[in-house]
Amino acid sequence: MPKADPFDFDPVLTSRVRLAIVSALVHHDAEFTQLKELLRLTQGNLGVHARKLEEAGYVAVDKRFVDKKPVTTFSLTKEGRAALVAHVRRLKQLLGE
Amino acid sequence: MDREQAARDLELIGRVLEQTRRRVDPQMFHMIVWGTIVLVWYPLMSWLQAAGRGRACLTVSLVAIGGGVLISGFLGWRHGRHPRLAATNTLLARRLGQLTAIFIVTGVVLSFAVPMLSPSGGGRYVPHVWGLLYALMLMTLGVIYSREFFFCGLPSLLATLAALHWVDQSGYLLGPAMGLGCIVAGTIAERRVARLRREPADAADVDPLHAEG
Repeated sequence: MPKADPFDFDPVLTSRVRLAIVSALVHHDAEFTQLKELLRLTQGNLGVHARKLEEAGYVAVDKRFVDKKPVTTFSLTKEGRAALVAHVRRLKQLLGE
Repeated sequence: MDREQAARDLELIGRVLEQTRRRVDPQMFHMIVWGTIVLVWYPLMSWLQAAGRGRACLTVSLVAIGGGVLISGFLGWRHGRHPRLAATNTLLARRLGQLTAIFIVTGVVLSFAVPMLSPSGGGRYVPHVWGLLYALMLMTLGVIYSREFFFCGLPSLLATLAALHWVDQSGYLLGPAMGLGCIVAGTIAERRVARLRREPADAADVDPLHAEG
């Protein structure tokens, strides 16, 4: 029987890609292309992880046209920010800080 | 999760936070251009009016505005074609530009509305309107983007208040306050962008998900 995780880490944020996406949105909202360049992800990979974050309610996605080009913008929700803070707290607890 | 992974995750969060905090190019060379123009233009206007050469004011204003639009427009076009930084927060940069545009458009509208709608002599207070708008614009940018803009806006606010009392000296008060406020804030922002460009490529381009700790 697998050992229960005593620190109860959020399964959404145990993925490093999703953790990086959420961290990238802490200071400012970001566009799809900016996240893709910053995190060196493929379009498909970013899309999959962004969708999971959106389903978890951690990220809000806004799609609109700017100068006739489709632009997708991600922003961190209150729940996402709280989840990241809790995740950092648990990481530090694990490290004994 | 083990301790090593936890440490790597914390390091990843810190690195991404640092990269995203810094990587904005708001093209504040526009501030430097217009700050320089206002620094010369406003005192010159007060001097021309005091010297009884009020008719030259229109020519000077047209040259100042036309020159500013040309220089600012050219620099904006050139940097738009070749972005200076990779992976920047274009959303924030665009919002900063929109915010600035709102203040400038408001200034243009009030420049015509104040003389037309106010009792005689209202046109004398158009520089004060611009002084107040510059102050509010810089202070708002300070709240949203970077703190030094807030402090650079305060002299414009004080100069506007002083210029309400010494109306005939308004150009000498507002020009330096507005001009230097924009030049200083814009220069700090541009030096920040230049520093980001000079950083070693892997500091900017490091793959935060796979970089060795």
